[in-house]
Amino acid sequence: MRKLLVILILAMIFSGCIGEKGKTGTGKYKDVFVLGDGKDHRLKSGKWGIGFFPKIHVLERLVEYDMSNDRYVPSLAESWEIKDRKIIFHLKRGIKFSDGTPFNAKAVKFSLDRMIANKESLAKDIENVEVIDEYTVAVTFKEGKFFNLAKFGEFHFGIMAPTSVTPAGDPNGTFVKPIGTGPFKVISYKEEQEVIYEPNEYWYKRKGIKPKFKKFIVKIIPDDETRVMALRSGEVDAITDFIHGGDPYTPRNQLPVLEREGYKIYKRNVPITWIIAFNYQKEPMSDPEIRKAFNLAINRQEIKKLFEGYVRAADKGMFAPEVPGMKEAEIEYEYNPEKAKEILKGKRVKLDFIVSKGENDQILVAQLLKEQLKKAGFDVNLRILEPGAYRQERKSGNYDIRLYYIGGTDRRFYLRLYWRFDPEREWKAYSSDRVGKLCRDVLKEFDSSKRKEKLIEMYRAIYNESGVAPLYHDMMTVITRDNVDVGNLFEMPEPNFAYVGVKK
Amino acid sequence: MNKGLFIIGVVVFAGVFAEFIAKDPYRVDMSNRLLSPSLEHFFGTDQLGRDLFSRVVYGARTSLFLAVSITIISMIFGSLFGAVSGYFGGIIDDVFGRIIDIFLSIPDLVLNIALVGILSLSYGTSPLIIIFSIAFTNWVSYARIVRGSVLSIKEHEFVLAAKAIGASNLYILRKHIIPNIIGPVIVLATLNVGNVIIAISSLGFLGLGIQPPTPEWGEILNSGKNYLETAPWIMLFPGFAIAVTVLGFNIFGEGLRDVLDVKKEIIE
Amino acid sequence: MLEYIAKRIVQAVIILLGVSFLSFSLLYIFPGDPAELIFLVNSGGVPPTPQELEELRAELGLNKPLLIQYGNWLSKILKGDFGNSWNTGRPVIYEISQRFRASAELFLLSFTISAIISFILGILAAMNKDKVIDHICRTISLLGISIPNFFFSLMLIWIFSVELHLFPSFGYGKLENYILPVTAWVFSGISIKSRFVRATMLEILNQEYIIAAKAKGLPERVIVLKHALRNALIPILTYFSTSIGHLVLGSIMIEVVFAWPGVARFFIFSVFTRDFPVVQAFVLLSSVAFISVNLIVDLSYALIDPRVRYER
Repeated sequence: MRKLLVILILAMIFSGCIGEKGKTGTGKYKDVFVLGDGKDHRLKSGKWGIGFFPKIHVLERLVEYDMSNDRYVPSLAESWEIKDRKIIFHLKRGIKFSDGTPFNAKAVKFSLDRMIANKESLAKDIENVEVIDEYTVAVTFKEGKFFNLAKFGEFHFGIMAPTSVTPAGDPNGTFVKPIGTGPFKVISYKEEQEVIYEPNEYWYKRKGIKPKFKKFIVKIIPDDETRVMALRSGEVDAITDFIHGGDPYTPRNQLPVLEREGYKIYKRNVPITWIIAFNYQKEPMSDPEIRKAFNLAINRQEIKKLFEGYVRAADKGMFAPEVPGMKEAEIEYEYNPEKAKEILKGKRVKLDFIVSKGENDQILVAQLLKEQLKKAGFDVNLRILEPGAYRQERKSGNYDIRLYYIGGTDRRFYLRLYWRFDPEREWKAYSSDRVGKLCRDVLKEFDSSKRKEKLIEMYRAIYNESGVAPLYHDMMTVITRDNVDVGNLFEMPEPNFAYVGVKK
Repeated sequence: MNKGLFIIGVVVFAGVFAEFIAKDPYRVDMSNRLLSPSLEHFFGTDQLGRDLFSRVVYGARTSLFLAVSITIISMIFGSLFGAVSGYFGGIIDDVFGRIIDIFLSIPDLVLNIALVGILSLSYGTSPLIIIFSIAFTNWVSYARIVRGSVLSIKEHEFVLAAKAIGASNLYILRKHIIPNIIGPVIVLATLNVGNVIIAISSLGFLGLGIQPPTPEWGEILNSGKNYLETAPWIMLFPGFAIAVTVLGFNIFGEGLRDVLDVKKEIIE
Repeated sequence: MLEYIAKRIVQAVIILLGVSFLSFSLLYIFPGDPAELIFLVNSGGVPPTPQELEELRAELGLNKPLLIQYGNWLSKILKGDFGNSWNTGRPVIYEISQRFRASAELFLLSFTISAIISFILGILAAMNKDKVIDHICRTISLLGISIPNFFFSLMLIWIFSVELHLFPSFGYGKLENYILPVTAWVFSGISIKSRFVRATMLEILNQEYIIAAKAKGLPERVIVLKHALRNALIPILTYFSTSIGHLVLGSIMIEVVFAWPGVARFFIFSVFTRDFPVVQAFVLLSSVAFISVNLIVDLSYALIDPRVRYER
């Protein structure tokens, strides 16, 4: 018996030693990392350029947004000066694109000129881009505002190498593939099926680390359930939510099950809020009192339950609490169906609720809301429509309420404010004279404390006017098999797969 | 055959008297979601805390209503078509026969799905669209049977005799043809209801049927497929409901056919 | 003989024309303007300006009379040009052929297995009428046509994949991926076929020459295998072959439940995304397959059994 124990202990020590040796060798990780993603990467480019995933993993931007301090911090640009309509960027030196060509002011000019040539809406108010010297570039906008700087931290303002098109450097040239300064370079692309990336050695050198894999394959699996099955069957090592926020994502009801089964779940709260948007330009939702009653009728804690508790109920404001000024605004969305009934003076209000068929979770939320609203005096006619029919009804204003979202990952904050609350935007959720003006003031204001004041005013205005009915704040997940190390996965608001290693 | 009738009886009873057997199928209760079957909730609860038993019971109403509508429409139209084709023969029969062949050569479900898909763009997936889309392919089986029956009866002596004494076509149809085709048609209808119910729930399963929150077996089953680990009852019970109902109609229909075959006398 | 072949072929062509016209006119059952529908789907819901609508109409030839449009469409179809998928922009024919193999594999496997099993089961049931095996066969049959295949598939997934972790419920390529979908398909396949086999066998066993053979004192096995089977083979094979036609383009529900990368699942996807050229092509092609298989079977039947040629 004792002999056995000794042997056992010796064996354990031995294996421990061998383990240690293994850890320092390169033989620890697999050469290939396979990821399951729900949206095509659109590497052939298109109306909005390439997809969001390569925008994060292949390209980098001049600045990044630090939401906790509401500041823009250096990324590819070392520093910058703002002179009213002009921003002068001083670029970092010694950076190379993945094909070895240098990152410099010419490349920045090329990227911006290309956006202008493609008539991308965010570039419409750029008047001029001037190369001052090899590492200095000046961008002049039609109007001087804070939002100009904010744009440079956006997905769409990733800097591409002039060699991404042919002839090289021609803003009207034919797109070949995106070449950037980010952690990955594109090797091959099968539309709607698979993308193969490889680590960009220059990026890793800058960070002073080595990539843990040689090849990065992303399999495009649009169906949520199928993607989870691919993870289970081992066909992919990890799956990710849509990097921009919103769906496709891993169904929340699967998360506790996956966790139990030993998969690793990485979560990050995202400042994206799902709301009910009103057709406030016609009755009955044109009446702010009715909108107020509507907000009182929604039980947000119940909605949270629908997502197995993984999301945050949006009862403290229409934006997530981490958003600048939201906490200070001290807004409370109360749940009080009795009060709602009083406001409606005992009358029943009919509402036409349109939902797009593509999204299973949204259909469930809609059914839940219908029942909740019934208690407060709203008779909801729920219409679940094909995506094409939904878009038509929405455009023609043939509805009273619909599900919508505000926000995205951190870098989208100001852009979403613009798109959802500026009176002239096509996709606005709500606007009024007051809210519209406040929104524009926010986007203009360079001083961060003044801007915060304006933001708080804007939040309170939206709340007082009951412009929207916030439901819940979402999150982003990445789920991996248990042999996957993710490193600093959420160093940016979006998951960054550069540090991943798949253990053998 | 009696077993089949019994099952049908149960299902019809459930559909008609749903209010007395079950609770509100729409009532949401988030604090009681995904509960397994119990005395309180015979079939458990779904993702929104709704009582699954109630949803299945009310679902019977949905399915039966649609199935009966489709069957009646198919039966009337199909029988007329087949009767005219068989009785008048000649060119009419040639043309009508080809039309039947055309419909027979396209798999039913394919055409149903295509029709619902196209029509729902402008009309949404309303019961009317579903009834139309399924009846559009369903009438053919009636046409075929009736045509066959009519063809064989046409040559019998009493028909020829009636013609000889100058009876009008309408009279012949009414007195001689129709009473003899009712039997096979009824049998077909009973056996056919099962297929219709499967078609309705297939559409529902694909998301092309009656939309939630209206309870429909195929749709409930579809919503349950994401909860196989945590709440398999959401998938199981509506599925059993479909299977049992269709089984009932099939058993009854086959029994009916045997009975009618044995007693097969031509009504003179 | 030749007359018969010609007759059948002409019949088939007429039916094909009818089906093609039906597929073609699917676009027109949409009330309102087909041009507007096409524009809306492709623009993602943005309605067209009157000018854009006119341009589209001219481009697609929608301002010509219906029959001419049909003619143009038909001539393209005959060259194999089904247009381009509105989703991917690639030729419909290409998209379908890409996915054909997966569907074909599943179908052939399932069909072969279910044909063999239903053949054996049906014969055994007929030979042992009203005994245990007959009851088993009839019960399986009944269950097979009553239980919807999507429910049966999900049950299989639940039992064998979720609870027992024996087989994967998703994936394509490895042997284990085929087990559950094939099982599901075979189950419903057996139900209809074994019935027919049993019924045919019973009918033949009741015929006079069999009774004569029995009277002669031949052992039952010999009767069955030598005489009855030979005569039953033709109708059975005919029946089996006609069921190919309907299933050739894949069982829609099974491909959807198992996320099988085949043609039928693509069809469903195209219906959801309003990819009309694909939907149209699928409707047409599934019936073309059925008609052609039927035609081939009929013609070969005529070759084997001369009595057929003089029928009608």
